[in-house]
Amino acid sequence: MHILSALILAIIPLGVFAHTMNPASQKIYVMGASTYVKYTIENKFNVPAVFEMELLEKDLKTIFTKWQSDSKKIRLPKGTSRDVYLKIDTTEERKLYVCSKLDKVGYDESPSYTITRICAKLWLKR
Amino acid sequence: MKNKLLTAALLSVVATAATATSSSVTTTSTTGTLPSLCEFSNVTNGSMDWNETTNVFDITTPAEFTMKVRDVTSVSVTNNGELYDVDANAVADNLSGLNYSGSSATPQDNLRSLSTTGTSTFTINNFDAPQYFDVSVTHSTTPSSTFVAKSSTNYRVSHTITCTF
Repeated sequence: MHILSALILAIIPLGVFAHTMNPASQKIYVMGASTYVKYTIENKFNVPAVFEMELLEKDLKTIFTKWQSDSKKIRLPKGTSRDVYLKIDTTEERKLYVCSKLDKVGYDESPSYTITRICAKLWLKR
Repeated sequence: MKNKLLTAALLSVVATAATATSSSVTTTSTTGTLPSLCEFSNVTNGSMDWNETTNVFDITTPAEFTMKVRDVTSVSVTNNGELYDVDANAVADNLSGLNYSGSSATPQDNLRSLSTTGTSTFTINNFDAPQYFDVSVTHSTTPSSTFVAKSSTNYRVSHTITCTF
């Protein structure tokens, strides 16, 4: 039997690692064909990081595509935060998850093998 | 004798007074509005061995980390079905399966308990309060049948940890 070693769950410097996203679960009454929703993303890693936004249907699997933002990739120095505005199609009622996902870490923006993702419920009710 | 009686009387008064005025006090604090929280620490890389006979990467040391959560409904660990080499390139042959059986989540407060479900995705739920808990990620990893391992090469599996509020 030939044995090779392999690593999993690499590679972020030790410490407290996190990113946060607020607000958490929310329900908004909407009337028009689209609605703007604001989320605040904070990089609590001890290195710069790039995050990407992702919208999913309520099954948390199906990608929801009817949205726009100037900030689909969010570059944040360590310890900083940014407000992200999403323009979401509300021609019909939506039950979605809005997720921010760690994409790259470090000054060289290398891929992260341990990917943190925070998902908040968003109910756009008509 | 007169002095002894006086002393006894005084002690009695003091004792009576102490009993009469004893009371409990409390120190209170009301927290402000705290944001939802999901952070992890104490990450320890795991390792796995390639078994050429069975065509499976077997865990030799589970990956471990600690999570601190508040107002979270579930935490899940999953993967994108890709196997990476040391240069972070996805190898051409995707994983045919990754099974998280044996993974665990243990609250640091012994009074609490968490439930875990799933094998293709490892999900932790039943959060009854903000808390710390320790996660151990173990899994078997099966590349596709067309995968042939390179010699002396590090392979990696990427895991996504999702906190859902």
